Amino acid sequence: MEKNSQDNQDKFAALKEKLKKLQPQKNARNFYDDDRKMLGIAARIGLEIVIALVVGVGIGYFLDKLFSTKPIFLLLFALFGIAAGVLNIYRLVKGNEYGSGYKNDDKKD
Amino acid sequence: MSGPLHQFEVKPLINTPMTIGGYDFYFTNSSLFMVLAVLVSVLFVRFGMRSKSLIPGRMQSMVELTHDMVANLMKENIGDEGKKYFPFIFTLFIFVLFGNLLGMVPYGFTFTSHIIVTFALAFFIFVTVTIIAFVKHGTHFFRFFLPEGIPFYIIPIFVPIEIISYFTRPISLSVRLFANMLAGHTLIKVMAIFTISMGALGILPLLFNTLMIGFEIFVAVLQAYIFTLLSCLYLNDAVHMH
Repeated sequence: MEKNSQDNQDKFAALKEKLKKLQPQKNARNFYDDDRKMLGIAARIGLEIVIALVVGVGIGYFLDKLFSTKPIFLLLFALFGIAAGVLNIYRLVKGNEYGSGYKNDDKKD
Repeated sequence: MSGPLHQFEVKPLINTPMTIGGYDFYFTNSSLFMVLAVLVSVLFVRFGMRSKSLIPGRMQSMVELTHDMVANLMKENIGDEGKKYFPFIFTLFIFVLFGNLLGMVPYGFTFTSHIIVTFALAFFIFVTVTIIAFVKHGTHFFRFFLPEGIPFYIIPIFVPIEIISYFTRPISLSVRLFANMLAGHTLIKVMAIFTISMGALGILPLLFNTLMIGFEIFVAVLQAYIFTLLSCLYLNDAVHMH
């Protein structure tokens, strides 16, 4: 029993040493992952504002056609579209992606 | 010499259309490359996994790496509940990937450079994800647009913004893929035309094009990856509502 636990302790120490050596490699890999993620964000960010505006204007135009109230909804939804675009970008940069609502802050991690 | 946009022309390969319900359906070069993408991806996976050895060969490694990449992506972004959607996401990834890569083959046609194709894909994802959210959460789904605990006086501003933000998804998903493929392929063609028309100085655009082709292959893979990543994120929102 004595001997066994001594053995285990030696093994444990050896493993610890090994882990310590491998740690920098793991960190390097994380950095690479982050890089890839940033590239993904960079490739997407420009489009978001434009698309949200287009969707907003589209909805506004459709509602105007429906109620023949040109151009009230168009103007209103263009503003909403801009706001949605900014919101999308804010969420993208914060790492919440498109999740909606306030409570997303504690979703990740 | 054909123009830089000539490569995106859709033309029927069989001139007699199939008539279904009053509409004429042609088998075009776009359809041909979609069929090719399906065939190549089936061959890639089948042929790669034919030996199923414990220590993988080159082809098997490629298949396994692709599988693991998508599996990890889903595990990171959706968690264990995402496992049953793996075939869906994997199929999507490999179809878009081979669609993009087949477009890099000379004389090839890039079907992902047409917005109608990418929009059909994105809209299909959008509808599927919305249905999954509805089935899983019922009317609780509408909490998506109206989270609990927001003051009543910002509701009229908040709800339209959230709805617009939600409907942005299929459009930004499709436009991103389509615009990247269209822009890259057009630029390559424009540079190729410069190479011919500039005579001896044509070496410069030729060098640029050499780099550009490599970059385009990178973009093809990256865009397929982003398309899949975003589908995963949408699916995550549908599975884990809050």
